[in-house]
Amino acid sequence: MQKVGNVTFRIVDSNLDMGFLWKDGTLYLTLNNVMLTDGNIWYEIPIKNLERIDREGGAVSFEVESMTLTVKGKNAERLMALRYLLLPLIEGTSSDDDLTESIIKLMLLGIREESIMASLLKRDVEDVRASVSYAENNGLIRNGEVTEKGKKMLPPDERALLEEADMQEVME
Amino acid sequence: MAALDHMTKLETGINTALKMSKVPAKETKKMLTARDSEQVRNTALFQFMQVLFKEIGLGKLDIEKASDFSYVFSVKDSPVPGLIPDAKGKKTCYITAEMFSSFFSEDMGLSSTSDETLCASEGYDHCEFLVKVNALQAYQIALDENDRKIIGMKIDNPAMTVTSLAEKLGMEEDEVEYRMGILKRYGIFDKNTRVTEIGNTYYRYRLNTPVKEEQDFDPPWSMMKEISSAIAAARSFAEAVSEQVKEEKKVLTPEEEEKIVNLVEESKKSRSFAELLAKQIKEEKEE
Repeated sequence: MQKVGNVTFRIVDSNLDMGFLWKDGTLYLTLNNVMLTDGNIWYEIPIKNLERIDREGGAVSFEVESMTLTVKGKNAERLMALRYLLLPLIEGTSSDDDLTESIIKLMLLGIREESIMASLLKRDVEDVRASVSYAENNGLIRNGEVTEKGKKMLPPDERALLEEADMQEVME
Repeated sequence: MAALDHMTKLETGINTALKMSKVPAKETKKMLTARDSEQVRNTALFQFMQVLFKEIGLGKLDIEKASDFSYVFSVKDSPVPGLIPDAKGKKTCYITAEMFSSFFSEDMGLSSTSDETLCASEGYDHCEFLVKVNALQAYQIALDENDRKIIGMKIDNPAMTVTSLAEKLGMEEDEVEYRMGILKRYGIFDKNTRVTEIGNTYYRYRLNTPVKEEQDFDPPWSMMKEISSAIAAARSFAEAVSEQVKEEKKVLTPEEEEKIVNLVEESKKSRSFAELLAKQIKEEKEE
């Protein structure tokens, strides 16, 4: 079992809408599993069951069924490296987070027509439509507006600039 | 497990390079306005990207295709596919795809999508990446104030002729024609030089978006030596950390193995519990 690093972690179960507080622990990698311990309990996620691995700033989230394990640590590069090693092994991994982020930016600029978004982003309308659906299903957009959760996808300085532009649009 | 160490070295090198590689807008404009891959290849910005790739250890970068704000980059001899043999037949270079995306957005100021379209892991002799830049941000850099004035005047008066535009702007007619040709190429004007929906959207965006003051600073390739040293130092540090962590192997005791909590199993139990709870609540409501 190879040590990945010392981390702080949290497990959230969306079935029961509950999660633990952040705890200190150690993350390990084996040939078949991601393993984690807080010193008392050992948790394992079989790599073959991983559904998504997201990055949120310097943290990495592993999703399996209804469980999300989020880890962060001093050695953020090592956590990202783990993510890059595992992403190709997940069935149906798509890198359309970039597209979702681009769509959120356009919506903050007041652009909501999917055909225009597709032209600006040089993507098929179907891809844009799928990303908009994904964003709605994940609470990033609601009733045609970007939610706080959606805005958090953006880097802080870009978010500030776009929110200012959104305000001007509303005032007009 | 050496794969994790190697990937960490790459990621550390990338992070270090990105922090030191802010590109001035005038250099970004040269790449954006290049008409084909040959012109892109001749820009200092692209040549800088090639050196960065080499210093980080990501392979040999080239450009296969360039059309308005859309680029196909190729990478030969990338170490990444070899690090993930279990993914043979699939695309593996997420680290490289995200590097393009981060470089374009953080260093060039252009948000973009980046997808690997071919991978050596699938049997090709190189990897390819399609990078598409957000056109609105590209227009901000590629077009200047005179281009925007032309768009504004055409919005106000779609029938305005080249002669009238040239007179109002104090330009030669040839120059106005040239600029309108570019605006057509970018989809801002249609073939009849009427402003398109994209053109209207851009013009509105330009009016609504607070303009960031353009800073003039030296391009990052003017300090290539410092960047190379920093990348090498970061990689060495990553290697040293990996060596230290390697010493801390762990073997579970039989008691520990018995008590492992498998999160997949826990999730199935909690789903059953949640369904049971929902059923009970429903029955109580019906009573």
